[in-house]
Amino acid sequence: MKNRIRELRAARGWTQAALADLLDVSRQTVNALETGRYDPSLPLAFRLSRLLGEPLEQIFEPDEEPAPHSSR
Amino acid sequence: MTSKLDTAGPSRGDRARARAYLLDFTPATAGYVVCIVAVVRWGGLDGDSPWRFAWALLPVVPVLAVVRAVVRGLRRSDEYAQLLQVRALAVGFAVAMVGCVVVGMLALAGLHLTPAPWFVVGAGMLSWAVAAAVTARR
Repeated sequence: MKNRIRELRAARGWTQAALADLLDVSRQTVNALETGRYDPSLPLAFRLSRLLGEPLEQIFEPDEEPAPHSSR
Repeated sequence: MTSKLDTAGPSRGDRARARAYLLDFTPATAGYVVCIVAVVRWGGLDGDSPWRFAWALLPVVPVLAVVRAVVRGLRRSDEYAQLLQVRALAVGFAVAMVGCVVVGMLALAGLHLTPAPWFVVGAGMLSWAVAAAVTARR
């Protein structure tokens, strides 16, 4: 999933470490989120949303992949 | 613009978690080493006293403290760090299980290697550590 975390963090002048402390996660986790290697859980995504003051859909953008096959 | 903000140093929380883990892990590991030396030196494991079995199990106590340190470390970690650690633990577990099967099958075939369980422990620990280092770098 693509996201704008790095851009929004930089706009606030925060380092990855500062954002990590604000979110109570490791700096490695912030890096993994920003580079799209890890998609956060819903609780963490909402914490990010509150902290950055942006709605979820303004931070995250789903990859354009076909929907999984329905079992019907 | 972001280069200065993207320095790779640990955060304050990272340092606090690492410190807390070391405070749990270091005494447990030191206790394990002390117990092993004491048991091998004074435990009389090659004698015939029934107490030798209790002595032989003494190092299990600090090993349990090591397990406690790992579990507490996992609980202090965030969701991504937990995912990486659990993946690394799964690799260590799989290697240890395969090692157990190898040792067990060789024992069935009549090959009884006294230090074989230690090889299994070592292989499990080493593969856990390597997997943790590899996943942390990715």
